[in-house]
Order: sequence, then C-alpha cells, then structure tokens
Amino acid sequence: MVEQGLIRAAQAGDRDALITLLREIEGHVYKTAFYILHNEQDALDASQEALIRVYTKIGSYEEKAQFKTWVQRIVTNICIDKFRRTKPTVSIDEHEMVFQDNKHNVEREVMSGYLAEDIREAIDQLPEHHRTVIVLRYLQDFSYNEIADCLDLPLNTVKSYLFRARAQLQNRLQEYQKGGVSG
Amino acid sequence: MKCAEVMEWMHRYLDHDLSQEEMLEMFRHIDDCPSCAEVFDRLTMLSRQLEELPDVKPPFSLVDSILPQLDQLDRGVRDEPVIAGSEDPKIVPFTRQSTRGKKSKGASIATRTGIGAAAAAVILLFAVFNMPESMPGADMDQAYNAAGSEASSKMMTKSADNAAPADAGRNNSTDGSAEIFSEQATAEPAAGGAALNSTGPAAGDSADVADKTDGADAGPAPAKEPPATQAPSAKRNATAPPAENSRKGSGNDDRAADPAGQTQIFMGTAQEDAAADTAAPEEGALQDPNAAEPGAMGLLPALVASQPSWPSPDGRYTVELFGQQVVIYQAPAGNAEGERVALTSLPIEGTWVSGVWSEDGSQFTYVTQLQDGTQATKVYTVPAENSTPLPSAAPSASVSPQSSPVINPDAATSNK
Repeated sequence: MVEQGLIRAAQAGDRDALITLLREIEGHVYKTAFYILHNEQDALDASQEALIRVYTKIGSYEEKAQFKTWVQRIVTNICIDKFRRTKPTVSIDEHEMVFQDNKHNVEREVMSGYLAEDIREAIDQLPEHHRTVIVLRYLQDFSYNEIADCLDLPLNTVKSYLFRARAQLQNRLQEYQKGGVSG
Repeated sequence: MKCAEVMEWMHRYLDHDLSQEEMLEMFRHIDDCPSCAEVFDRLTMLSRQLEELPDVKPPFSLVDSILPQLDQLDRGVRDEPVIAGSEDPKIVPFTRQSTRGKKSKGASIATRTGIGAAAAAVILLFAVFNMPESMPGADMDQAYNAAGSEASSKMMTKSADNAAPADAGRNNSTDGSAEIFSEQATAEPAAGGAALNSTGPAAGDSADVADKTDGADAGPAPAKEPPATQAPSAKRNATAPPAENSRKGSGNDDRAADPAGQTQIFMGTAQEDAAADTAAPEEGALQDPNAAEPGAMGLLPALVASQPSWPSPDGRYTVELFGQQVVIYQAPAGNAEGERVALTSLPIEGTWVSGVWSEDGSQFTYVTQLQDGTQATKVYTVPAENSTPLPSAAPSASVSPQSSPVINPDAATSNK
C-alpha cells in the first residue's frame, strides 16, 4: 500500500517523491504486465511505458480512486493495447464455456494439482478481458469492486468475466492433465 | 437450490463474496450433490493454485532504466507544458521515436541499423578536426561552405539544370525531407551520385557529382573540376582560382563525408535512415522520405528547443546554435504546415560570439572566438533559389534577431 503522503508530495511536484513512488509500484506493474502478456520482453516494455505514463500523469490522479487501481488501470490498458496489436483477437465465442459441462462427470483424475506452467499457459489462452480479471484478482488480489474500477466495467460484468475465466481455465487444465496422463 | 445457482455461489465463495448464511446453504447443497462437490473441489484447487502463482520480479530496476527518458521528459515539459488530461490513452510516452505512431515503425527499425553509422560519422568528424595540417584553414572554410551548399538537393538540381533540362524525378523531390535524402544519396559511392544525374545529358556534371561523393576518387580530372567547384559553391567561391582545384580535389573525401556526417549527428534518427539507405538501392533512398521525416522531425525540436536561434528577417530560415554546430533550418514553404527542415549544419571553431542575418535574409554571418583569442568570421549563404528575391519583403530591418532567441521559426516576425 502506497503511502498517501508520498502521492501528494509527488503530485505537488516533488520529483524525488515521484521517483520513490515509481519504485514502490514497479513490481506490481511488472507482475501484471508479465501475466497478461506472458512474455518478459513485452512485459518490460509495457511496464516501462506504464511507469512513464504514471510519471507524466500523476497530476491527473484524483484521490477518490485508489492509487493502486489507478496504476493498474494504466498498465492493463497498455497491455491490452499491446495484446491486440500482437495477437489476433480470439473471440469469446470460441472460448465459450458452458458451466454445465462439468456435470458430464469425467472420471476423477488424480487431484494432485496442475503444474504452474500449465496454469500460465492456460491463462495465456484466455481472451484478453478474462485474462485481465484473473490477473487482477489473483496477482494483485483485487476485489470485484477494485477490478471494476480498474477496468471501468460494471460489477456484474467483472463477476461474469471472472467466473467464466475460471471455468475456462479449469476445463483447459483438465484437458492438459488428461493429455499428460495419456501421453 | 439449483446447481447452476450453486455454481455461481462457488465462485463468489472463492472470491470471499458470500455471507455466512449463503455459505452454509451452498455447502448443504454440495454435501448432497456429488457433481457439484466435484466441481467445487476442482475450482477450489484451481483458485488456490492461482493464488500461489509465483511472484515475478523485473530482471532490473525499471525505474532506473527509464530515468533518462524521464529527464528528457522534464526538459520537454519545461518548454512545452503537457496538458494532463485524465486517462488519455493517446498520450504516448517520450521515446526516441516519433510521437506520430504511424510512421514510427520505420524510424525505429532505422534507429537500430543506424547506430554504427552514427559512430562512423563521429569518428570521421574527429579525424577531420585532428588533421588540420592536411586541411588548411581556408580550405576548411571552403569545404564547409561547399558542404553547406551541397546539403541542398536544390543546389544540385540547379547545378545540373544549368547544363541540362530539368530532370522530372529530381524536381519531384523538392520537399524538405527529400532534400535530406538526396544529400544522403550523394554520400554514397559513385553509383548514387551518378544515378542522380543519369537522365541528364550533361555527362560532365554527372561525373562531377560522382567525384565529389566518391571518396576513393582522389584525383579528379582537371577538365571536370571547374564546373564542380563553380556549380555547387558558386555563391561564395565564384572567384576561386582554378589553381586550387587540385587541393580541393584532395579534400573531397572530407567534403563529401561532411554533409552526411553532420546531418547524422544532428538529425537524430535521420542518420539511421541514411544508414539503411546506403545498403538500399539509390531510388529507395529517394522514395523513402517519409521514413526519415518522423525521426528527424520528431526529435529535433526536442533536442534544440532550448537552443538560441536566429530567424532570418524574412522568416524562411532559422539558424540555431547547438553545441559546436550551427544548424540552418528552412521553414516549410508556403501553406505547408509541415515542420522545418534542416538544410545543413556547420561546425564552429572556438566559442560563439555572435551571429546576424543580412537584411535580405540571404546570408548569415557569425563570429567565433578561437582559442588563441582571435575572432573568426564566417558567412553562410542560403542557396540562391531559396533566398527571397525581394529584400523589401523583410518585415523589419531594425529587428535584432540575435538578441532574441525564439523557439519557433514561425514566430520570427512576431518576436521582437
């Protein structure tokens, strides 16, 4: 949690405070970028861009918003822009998940857990907004409201994205797991 | 309670969004419904693993890595304050590339390829400055003047036009950025220079250009030499005795390299385009002016914005002092809203004393103080066809431009 006084000093034109502020948030910024973009180089580029934007726009931050959601909004916007530029858009329909699928109760696999790399891979397959809500929820530990603020989405949309994203992840991971067992 | 409803509650449970009662109700259902229990197990496991995703850290300090850019931003902000609109996605952070996105790609590719060329140019300039005995002061002066003249493709066009009908291709490239490219093209080996004139019937002129640009050709044929010295540098060297031609010939290496070298240093990313072009066919260089424009034009104002400048009385040119270089800019012609174009840059010796335009805006005279205490006066003459034919058009002869640094050449007439 960034100290409010530091933010105010930075806004008042204290360059040292602003630099300190950037140092405090760079880890969070990078983490989001890394998990959304799934690529170190892109994540570095996006984080640098985001930090520069924070630097130039600190004056426009208003305290009615949380600083962390303001920062994450900047970085997720940049990431989504990058994502759209570098990857063909995957329509949500293609990934449409039916919750009820789980009812066709597949034989119970070993519930030993998924591999972290598989999870990252599965996150990478998600449509951009689903991926972003997952990252904010799990990597930044944001609440529904914070995610909604950050992405400028209605609360219900956030929930719906998040629930779908989890269901998609789970399905995909199950596929990986089955593939891993058989292959 | 339906399974679908429970499914949603499971997700909310994972997000700590269920009340105590809701939680109890959900668990009651799960206890009775094996399929929901299975889903719940999976979701819980997934959620736990998502929470345990490894923390990642940048491999180096991102803040440190952007400090130079931030410094540059600060300098820029001081000159032209940025209006901070909230969440404007169009605010592009400062980069070495142009802020005009659609063109920035070419510049960035060129940026990478041009670093070597920039280094080479620096070495070349260094060599020039460190071998004064091989290039006496007078010749140096002349060489720079010639370089200045050569920097404009219009000059070259004119020299060719004197003997040959206008070449359509060349006339098409009269916009500012094309000039830069024509200039770069002349820095290429003879093929480039010859190509410029290949459609002109004046074989002599064509060879002259090649002589000037081909560093390997140290001994130009005397018969071709007079037109070479008289055409591009006629403005100032019209009286140059032919006897000097051989010495000038030996200086051709440096002279040919100077326009490219100086431009590379001061045009920022423009030199990268030049570098890329040297590997490309000559017509590529001429057809690709847009690639140079964003880099050069995007960067220059940022670099020189705070430099002292001397607008010419007619406002068409601006001279700016940038370190040890004088850069001459041409304002966009007529209605063009484009950015000014750097015609050429001249290195100065010693420390700057003063500079002033002639009243008709055709000559810029500047004085420097050399290390031995003497003052040197040099004159830059704008290319003849570019200078205003009507001195009376000058707004005010009494303006003292050298005492009023202005950022924008367009402001020249309004700035007292």
